[in-house]
Amino acid sequence: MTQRTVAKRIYPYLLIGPAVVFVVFVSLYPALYTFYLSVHRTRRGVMEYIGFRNFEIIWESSNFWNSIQLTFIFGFAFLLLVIGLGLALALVFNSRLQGNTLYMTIIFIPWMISEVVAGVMWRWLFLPNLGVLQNLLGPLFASDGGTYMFLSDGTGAMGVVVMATFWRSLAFATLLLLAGLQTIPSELGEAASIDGANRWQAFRRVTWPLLLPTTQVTVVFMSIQAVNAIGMFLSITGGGPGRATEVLSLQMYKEALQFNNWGYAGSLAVVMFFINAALAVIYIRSLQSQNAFD
Amino acid sequence: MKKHFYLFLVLLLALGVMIAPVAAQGDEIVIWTSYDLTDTENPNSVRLAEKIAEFEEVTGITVVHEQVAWDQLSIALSIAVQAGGDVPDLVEAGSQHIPALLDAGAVMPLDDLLGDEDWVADLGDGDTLACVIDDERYCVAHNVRGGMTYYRVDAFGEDGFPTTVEGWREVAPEVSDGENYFSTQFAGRSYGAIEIMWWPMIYSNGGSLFDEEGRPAWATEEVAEVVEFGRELFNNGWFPMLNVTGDFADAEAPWIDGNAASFRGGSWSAIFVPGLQDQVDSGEVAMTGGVDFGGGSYVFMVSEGFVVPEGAENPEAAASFLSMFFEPSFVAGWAAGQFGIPTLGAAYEVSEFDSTFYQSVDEILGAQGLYMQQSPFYVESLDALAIAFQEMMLDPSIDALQRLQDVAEEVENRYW
Repeated sequence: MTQRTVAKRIYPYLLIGPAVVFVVFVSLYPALYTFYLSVHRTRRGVMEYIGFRNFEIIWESSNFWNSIQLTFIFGFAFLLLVIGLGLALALVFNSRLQGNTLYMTIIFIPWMISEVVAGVMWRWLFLPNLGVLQNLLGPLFASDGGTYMFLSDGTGAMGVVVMATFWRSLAFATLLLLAGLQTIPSELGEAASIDGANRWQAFRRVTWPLLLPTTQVTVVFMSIQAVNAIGMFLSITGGGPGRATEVLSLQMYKEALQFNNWGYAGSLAVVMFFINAALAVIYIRSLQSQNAFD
Repeated sequence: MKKHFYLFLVLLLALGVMIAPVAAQGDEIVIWTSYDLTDTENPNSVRLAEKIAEFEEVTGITVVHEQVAWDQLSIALSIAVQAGGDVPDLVEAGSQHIPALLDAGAVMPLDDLLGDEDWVADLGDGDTLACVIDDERYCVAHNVRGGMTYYRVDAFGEDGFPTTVEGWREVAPEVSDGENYFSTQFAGRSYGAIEIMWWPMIYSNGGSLFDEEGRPAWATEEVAEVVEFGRELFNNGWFPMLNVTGDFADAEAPWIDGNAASFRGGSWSAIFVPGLQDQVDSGEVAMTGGVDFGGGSYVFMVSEGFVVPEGAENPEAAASFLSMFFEPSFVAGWAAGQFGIPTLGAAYEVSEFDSTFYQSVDEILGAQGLYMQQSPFYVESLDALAIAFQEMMLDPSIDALQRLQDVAEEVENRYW
């Protein structure tokens, strides 16, 4: 084998080498260390191997199942809003109205704000006595003529976080769905119209089936975001009141950084890993079915 | 030849880089406090910055100051020491953190470092009770602070502010009307709520937070009774529910806005509530201690000071800094800046502690002051308990004893 041939074979690996090293140190090593942590108990920096005891505690923990339930409630409410309104906006933008670019820019502004900054903003909007939205909406939602304190009630607090996350994520969902709509040939819609279909029938019979793969991809993508959401929860409610907004990702964060319970936090991270892995498999299969459809 | 010369240069450089940090360490100390030295609005931040500059000028030792959140100081130090990492030379600490730090092996005894210093002999009980454990000194405390109840004199008539549970039940409904409250106090999801709001009542009712080992001991009828009393306070509208769901500032707001007849905070509240000290000195507002649950009236008390971590690089320089810090007029100013009572006798002689405010603080802490029970996992355990208390206040249907048991098991599983 000539020197030139050897160099030619090694060259691609040299090119991807730095990226691989980076991925190993930033992703693979922390992931493996998390698995390692999950089978240990940590006390002020001292580690003790305990096997699967952390996972037994998770299984028996009411706080864990409460977090799972809250994660699904949050995810469901968030998806309903972001996909529903995202689709509506995508359809509007796809109709090429005048000023589309300006409207898209305005909708994208929340996405450009850092998650924690957005969360603090929303918390201030609902501050007791001072929050603008608290003062506007509090009397409307009160049952006894007083004022409903959103952040003092579990349902209200979760509602605020759902709205804040939806407000920030709407643009991205709209963009994904709009991209899907723009792959659908306009002639199909025109043909349906010529055949006598009204707008709803054209959407239901022509547009929606063609948009379904993109919608599936968007739903899974947003689901992954919902499962891993923590910034808004941390900055708006901190998991309160009580544990009313302590979703799984926040519980993991608190076990690690508030309670210094790194081993247990590692085991929660492993559970989240498997949830995310399942969603990732669905995401990839949705992508593949979309490509096959194309 | 050229190659050897360049190689020699590189080796020399590498040696210099290795030696330089070692040389620098002897001329440097690292201090952790909760103060932001760039905050010119906080008098003690300014004082500390000036004291550091003075120390650097007099000794030639560079001070590296790192701001660490108050509730993270002891945890961060414990982890740094146990993990074998770099540890600072001097750390701010509260008396409630000392047992946990001792358990973690994170603090060094100070008798050898400070034994000959005259000012150490002038430290009073507020220091000794907190810092001398089994005849060994582990910290030096510069001031003592504690929980206080402030009440508007004209709101409570001739009998004054009630100090028993029965008295509260009798007077609170008369003073509260939905928009105005009998009292307001932080009772949120932080260990500070346990310290200030719940612990004095628990102790007065014969309850405990921790056993001798520091394990949870709060799942008892006595603590459940305190929970039920708390529910009366919030669900009857005598205290605003915001005390439970908001932060410290939210708890102060009803008092500042004139909607609360009393306010349960601490001697430090004068920092955050505008004009409070003046109101006390003028007689418009009076001060009292805790509520008697049958075992006496108590208030949370804390001594604050400094520890020298085990493994500190430059403990002698840390001791020198402490000697400069404990100059009487400086400690007097420092304690006044925190609205606490200085532990140094000579500092207490300074005239600013003659006022009605400080006389009341001294009297109440002397008669009712109660240090916290100890645990190696103090902050973490009480944070978990505070969250449970918040849940129980918000949901009266939760069985208090069962919930207390659940959180005790949660803490046991986590740390024991």
